[in-house]
Amino acid sequence: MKRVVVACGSGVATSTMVGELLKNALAKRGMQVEVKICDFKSLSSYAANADLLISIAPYENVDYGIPVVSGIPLLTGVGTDQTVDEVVRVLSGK
Amino acid sequence: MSTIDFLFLEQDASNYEEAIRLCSGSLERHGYVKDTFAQACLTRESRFPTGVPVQGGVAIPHADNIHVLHSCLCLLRLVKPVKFHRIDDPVMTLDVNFVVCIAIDKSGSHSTVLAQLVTAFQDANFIQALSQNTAEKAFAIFKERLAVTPQ
Repeated sequence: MKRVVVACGSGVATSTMVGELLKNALAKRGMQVEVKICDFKSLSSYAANADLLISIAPYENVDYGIPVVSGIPLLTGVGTDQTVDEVVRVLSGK
Repeated sequence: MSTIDFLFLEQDASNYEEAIRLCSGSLERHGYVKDTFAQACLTRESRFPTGVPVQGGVAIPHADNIHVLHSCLCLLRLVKPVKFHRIDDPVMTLDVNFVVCIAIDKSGSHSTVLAQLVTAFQDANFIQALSQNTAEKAFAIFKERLAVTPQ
């Protein structure tokens, strides 16, 4: 199963919400993923074991060695479909 | 089984700091959070703002679960909007009419409620219902929409 890590400032509420929304959206497309939640401080160790990073902070330009997709559209509802498309594309390696 | 509670406020605030203090003060008086929660929320908000640019403007301030005793969502309906910095662009601000201060305890099994929260606030009809009804009715609508269905 593909592993996705969702990171926000404190690794509590915002990333938990976005992780849940992403899981639901991917399930609707028949894709099961393992979602881990963390804060930016512990991101490097989580990223080492993940296929994709969903970031919920702008201006975060550190390279963790895995693809990054912004999770903001999942929160605002604007551009959600495009974001999920992008996640599916990255995870299926197309 | 871990549960999540709700608190409701309708008040005036002159800025986002005051709005967060109103919510965290209420959460503290009702025993949901420690006295360190307010400052933790404010510090987090200044580094990672939580103004979400949905219709009506919503902010979702929160803090690490070490400051939380029991999970609760505190909804503050502001009499006049206040400016919060945007979650997607901290340099920008937006007018916020609803603040949901989120206290999540260590059991942390509230992802369903949180996902419901965001989904609800992406629904323009829901925002309209919260805005246009009396406080009492609006709060009932909020609670009904967010209450977790028993397993």
